[in-house]
Amino acid sequence: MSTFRDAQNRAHPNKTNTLMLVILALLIGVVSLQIWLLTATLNASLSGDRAIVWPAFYGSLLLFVSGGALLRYLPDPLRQAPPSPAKPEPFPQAALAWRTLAISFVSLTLAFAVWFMWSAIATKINDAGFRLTKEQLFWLTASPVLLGSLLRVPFGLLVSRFGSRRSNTFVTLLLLLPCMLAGWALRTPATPYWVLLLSAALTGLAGANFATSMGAVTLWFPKKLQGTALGLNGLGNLGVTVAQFTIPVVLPLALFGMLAGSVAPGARPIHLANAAWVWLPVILACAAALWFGTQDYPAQPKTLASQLRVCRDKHTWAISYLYFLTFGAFVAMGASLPLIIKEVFVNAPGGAPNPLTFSPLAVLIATLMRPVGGVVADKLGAGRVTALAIAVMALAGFSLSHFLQPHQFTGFFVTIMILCAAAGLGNGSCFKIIPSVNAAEAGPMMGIVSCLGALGGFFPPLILAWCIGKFGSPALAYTGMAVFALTCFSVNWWFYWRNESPSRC
Amino acid sequence: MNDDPKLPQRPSWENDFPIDRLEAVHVSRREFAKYLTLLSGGLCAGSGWLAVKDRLFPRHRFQGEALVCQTGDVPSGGTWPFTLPGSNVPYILIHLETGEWRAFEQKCTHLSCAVFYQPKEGKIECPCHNGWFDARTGAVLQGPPPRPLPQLKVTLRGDKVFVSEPGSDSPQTA
Repeated sequence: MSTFRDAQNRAHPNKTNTLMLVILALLIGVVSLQIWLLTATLNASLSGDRAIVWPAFYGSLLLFVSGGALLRYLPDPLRQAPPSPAKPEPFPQAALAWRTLAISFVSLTLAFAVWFMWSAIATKINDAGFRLTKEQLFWLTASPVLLGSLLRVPFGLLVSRFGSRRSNTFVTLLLLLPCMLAGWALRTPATPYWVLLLSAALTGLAGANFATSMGAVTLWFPKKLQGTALGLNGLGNLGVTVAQFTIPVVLPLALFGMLAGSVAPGARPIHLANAAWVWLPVILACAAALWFGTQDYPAQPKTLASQLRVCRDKHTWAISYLYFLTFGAFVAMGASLPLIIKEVFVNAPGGAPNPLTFSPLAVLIATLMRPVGGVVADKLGAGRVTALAIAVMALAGFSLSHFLQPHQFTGFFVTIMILCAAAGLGNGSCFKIIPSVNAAEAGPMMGIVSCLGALGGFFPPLILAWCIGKFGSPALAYTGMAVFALTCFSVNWWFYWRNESPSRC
Repeated sequence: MNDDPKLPQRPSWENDFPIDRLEAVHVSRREFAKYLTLLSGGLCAGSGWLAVKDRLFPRHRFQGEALVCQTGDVPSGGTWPFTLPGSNVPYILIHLETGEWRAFEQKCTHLSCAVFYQPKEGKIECPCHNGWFDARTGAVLQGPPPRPLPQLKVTLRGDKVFVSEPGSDSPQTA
């Protein structure tokens, strides 16, 4: 404990001096090596030797990590009296809570993968023999998003009424329905369009899973860990990336034999039904893990009427307004970035950049920043972190219109990455605000907030497409988003950042 | 106030400045160590940016040929500044007194100052830090620039001057 170390430090002050001196000397050595690495690599890469760049980065990273590890050995500062530790909030059943989070994260990833499977299918569906117009393809990818967002409201209420274990298992098993229907519909190009549209619409059920999952996780964690837990659960957004990478891989494989039918123009058969049926065993495994691995949180189930009271709470609408921006920007980037890259940068010198390389990166960074936002919101206060995220998004939105010339793709992409990172940060911290202002009804509130947020993802692609059609460039849409971000900043400041606000967090 | 007997006695004016010496010294060295780590992180991020830029945004090599000007526009010993379409990099076309034509980037390889051709001496000067390049090869003759000036290949067709990236098919015809 600190007493022994304290006594040691007092008895031998020179020991800490020497230790400190060595640490500083080593750190100065590390920084000098890194400066040399950076300048030498820059010089070499500009002269044409590009092979050195990645090894130099790994070396620099190694040096940085070792330097950081040295900090662990910094001697404690001397104090007259050791500070008394604050009483920690009781956290019973911590092991169960973390296990629930882990299982919930996996099943949420699965749900997101199923939710976005149609966007991956839509890229290959015409290759497989279907003859669908652009309008029809658009509605196939948009209807799951639309229905998924609307259904989040009732699904958010499920947890409070039926308990976390039962509602989670139920919604996971519900995923079987769209998967089986979609697979059966995709077996042959003879399927009429309305069947495809119906199964796409049913896939919206997967999107609603988010509300139940988050509502369940929030029950298990104390207030000071809400941001971290919800942020980590929110990593389930990676399911989108999983779907985009898995589906092209499984399409050519004959996984389900004759059941899948096969549509085979040309030499490479494409088994479209695989895209839907490959999730079936995973759904069953997740449902089993949820049923046997988690428990219902021991609390009174609430009635429906009491839960709808959350609609009257002004915070529901304030947080939805903020989440509309942060989540909307994230979905808009994922859905419409390929379109923008293709339209605006098709004439870039050096060839048009491949949209499929760059757009998953933007979605990825937003997803990875979500838990960071949650953790930082826990430590520094959600109001502040949200304010920072929104401010960065506004700045990025205003500067995007400067990077829309064909040869400015580097600047454009860097700004987009900054925008998406800020959006991810804001997503994590917004979800920390919810249990801070209304712990009792967090589940239903999350349902409504996430519903409006997902709707916020539905409109930007339409607006961007309209903008490009009417003005030839998306600059107006980005500036409009930046102005909207400024209004969000004032809402956040008024409710969650001002020192005098009663709901400050 | 520090009354640890092992430490030397402090002067009495220190009573007016009640900052514990040991505590202050320790705190500021801790902060320095943390700032060094932050700097290290920044440098690591810089290396990472170089790596990402190399993978995702490789240097664009200009395809084909671009018309610069007519041969009559540039007298012997004169220069003609131009840029290639789709990029902001400034170039200069030099008509050397020996009759040869050369085209170089105008950005000095040291810190990107604009370089100028000195007609009598057959050298290119960077006035910022007194760097000199050879006008025929672009090699560094003197000064801080670390690399030779990047060159473009000049081709004359009739009385029109064209430039293209070096390493394309036809050999230097000027």
